[in-house]
Amino acid sequence: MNAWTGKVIRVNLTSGTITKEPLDMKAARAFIGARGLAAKMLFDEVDPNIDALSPENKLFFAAGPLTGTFAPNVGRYDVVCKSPLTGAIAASNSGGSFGPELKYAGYDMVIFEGKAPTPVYLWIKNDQVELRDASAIWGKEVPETTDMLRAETDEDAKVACIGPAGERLSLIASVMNEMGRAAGRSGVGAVMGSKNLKGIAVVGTGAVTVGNKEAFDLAAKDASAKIKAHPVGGAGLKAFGTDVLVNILNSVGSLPTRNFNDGYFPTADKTGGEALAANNLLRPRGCHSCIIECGRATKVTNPKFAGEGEGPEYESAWGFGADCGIDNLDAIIKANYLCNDLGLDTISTATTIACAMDLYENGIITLKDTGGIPLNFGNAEVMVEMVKLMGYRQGFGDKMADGSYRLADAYGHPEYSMSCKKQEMPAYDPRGVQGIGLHYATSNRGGCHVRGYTIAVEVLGNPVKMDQHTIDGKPELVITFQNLTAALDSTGACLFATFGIGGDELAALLSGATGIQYTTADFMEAGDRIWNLERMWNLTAGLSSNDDVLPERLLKEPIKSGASKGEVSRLNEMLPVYYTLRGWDGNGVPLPEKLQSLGLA
Amino acid sequence: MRIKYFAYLRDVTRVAEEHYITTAATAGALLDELCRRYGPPFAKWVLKPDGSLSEIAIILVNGRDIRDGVWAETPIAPGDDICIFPPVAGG
Amino acid sequence: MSKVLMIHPERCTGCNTCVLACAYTREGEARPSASRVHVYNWEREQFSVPMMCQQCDDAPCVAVCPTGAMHRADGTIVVEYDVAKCIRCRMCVQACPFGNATYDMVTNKILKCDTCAGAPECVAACPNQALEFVDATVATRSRKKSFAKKFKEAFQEVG
Repeated sequence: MNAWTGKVIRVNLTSGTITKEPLDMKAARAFIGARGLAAKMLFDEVDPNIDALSPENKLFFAAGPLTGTFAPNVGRYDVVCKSPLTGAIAASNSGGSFGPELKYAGYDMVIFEGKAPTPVYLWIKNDQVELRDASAIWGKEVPETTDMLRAETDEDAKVACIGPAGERLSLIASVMNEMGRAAGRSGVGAVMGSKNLKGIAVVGTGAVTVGNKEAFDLAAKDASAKIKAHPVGGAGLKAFGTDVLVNILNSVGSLPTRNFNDGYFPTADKTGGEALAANNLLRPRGCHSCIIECGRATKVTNPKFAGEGEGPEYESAWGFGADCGIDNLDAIIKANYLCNDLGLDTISTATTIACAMDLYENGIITLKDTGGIPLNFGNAEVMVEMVKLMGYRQGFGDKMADGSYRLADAYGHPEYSMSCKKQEMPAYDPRGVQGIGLHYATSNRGGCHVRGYTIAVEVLGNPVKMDQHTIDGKPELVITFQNLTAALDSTGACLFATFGIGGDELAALLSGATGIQYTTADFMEAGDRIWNLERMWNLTAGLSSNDDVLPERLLKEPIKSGASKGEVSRLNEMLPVYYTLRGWDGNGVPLPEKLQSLGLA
Repeated sequence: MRIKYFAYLRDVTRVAEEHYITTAATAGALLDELCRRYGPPFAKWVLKPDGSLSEIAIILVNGRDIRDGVWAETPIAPGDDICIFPPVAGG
Repeated sequence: MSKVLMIHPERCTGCNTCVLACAYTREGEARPSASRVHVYNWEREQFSVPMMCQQCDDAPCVAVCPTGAMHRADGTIVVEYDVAKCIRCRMCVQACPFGNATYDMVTNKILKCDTCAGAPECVAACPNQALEFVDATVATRSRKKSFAKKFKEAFQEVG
């Protein structure tokens, strides 16, 4: 066995039993690992119609075959389960060293079933795997939890855990690893909380082997050279982080502003990567095996928002910034730190605050509802305060802790929620960038940018440039990116590796590592297979083409200012083309011949 | 016209934006002019080694990416807003 | 040969590329525990420090080695390890004040940096120049100079 360790830990939290199983190699070959393979197992094992927060849901921590190998930028793992936020399949991806450490301990994945009667954590040290009491740790924030788990296990253990938000079943709670890295989206932290599972500590001293060393070495050298030679992968992300996008998106008029009321924020420059590098950056940081180093070690000295930690990424800086009408970078960074400590997803937290501000400014909620807190756009102090209240479900924060859709819907105005499938959209306005809107609407986990990052082509011009405002060719572009990303995520590679390499290089790495030949076509087909499997699961869960939509605001209210003034999303023109090209019927259901061709029939 | 500079370019220009008067009639001519003015530390981000305009620098004229149109030949006028980004990205 | 490995923690991003490079090129597999360099991370401070053998002049590992397995050839900087002479008593592991000699159960030998015979793989792989292989005599020159520069600036400001 190479690349894959071939072993899976299955933990039944209800009974407290731990078993080790061999990896299903036929499935591994077809679905690769991480996101894809865990999705396949969820598909086989979990009824899509269960309550996501019930013991019937299962929680997969899954690394990919490349995770832990000596290839560049392959340090990732996925947390997969049914999402309590969307009702769809969740797969939240995180970096750091947790995924590789799991592999070095000898496992491709850990599956949690049932619900522990009292709080527990899982301690993995190579062959030794045990559930331990976490009663004393329950209630602690992420950094303290991490320290305590290390004190009880091994000082060098890699720790993934939830904070107060996950314990309180906030539908936007994240799973955090190594304090600053997040499997952020879709409420995977709430599923962990619902199982009384506080954390996982892992130490591994074994190896991840490769099947064809010569081929792997060549592929790894090639990938490394290409990423280093690329101006973005090789230098740009290290210097400015992802937050450099603030000025780019603002300049093309597609920086969603004040809950997507506009696409241009005049003072956005104060919150961009340039300002971050000049004022707050201590040094860049990298995940295990990373040669890009987009992570930000930052510090805020302003006493009102003082702190030190990781972040923000572009999406977080945008969410707490332009989307809330705020240009105070210190406050934005502080909000990011709080999300990390409390275990909240930054995108959903920020945009839920933006939604609350929108509801407040339009008189739908009042001081009576908010407990006297004036939720005006632009109020940085209030924004930071709301993050704390959400993490602990205190006061009005309780209503906000389940995301913008539940909040707006509770007041009879779901249209104020800027979400797809009830998950908040990130930092690219679909009115200004047409392809990304089609991706948001069709993404299997709801509003999300990292599963079909068409921005690379539509705005950045990488590897080619397409006009952001046209819809021509966009359905094809979205499908290609969705398939490529599904396969890439499943290897354990980082999406940013694509600033340098593509399907050819990834297929070569996968072939060398596993010793099984994947052509580029095989690799892309695996992505298509994973995408369709996720789709099938969602359809059985009760989702339909009625959920492949964008908020009405984006279809009907044009952007008011900036370079994309006057634009609306033309989703409804693109969607039927997308369905046809996907091999789906008019209702977005995969046709039998499509499923047959992918081996999913 | 107003020209805005971003990321590494600010290290060279020392300003985030400037009002600029030129006789250049196209984006290509303007960039040639700016590359002469700010020298190789500027030029290396927007030109390819052979001196032609880089495809991966992001150059906007009134918010429109010149790569979507006639690129270097994009006409410019005194009232225009120009944004110049070196190749950077995120996600 | 008179070059030494110079560590610049302020440049280290904690990516472990050096660790993988060492384990993979020297032991043929991605196994961090087989690396001769280890990176320690302080997550709250977001700070990382790579640690490896400093090739001590008066090396405790050499002094305690009963068989001469840990030895320094005349006129060189590097403390070398001769696996054939090693009896696995692990005295070197205990003697090293930095913990930079470790015993590896998998390969049944001592792991200690030998600078890859003058071409260290960790240095070649580090994407951030946090590890450098430089002449022993100039190793600290750039560091001294950068502090000297700060002095200069401080005095200029006062003046």
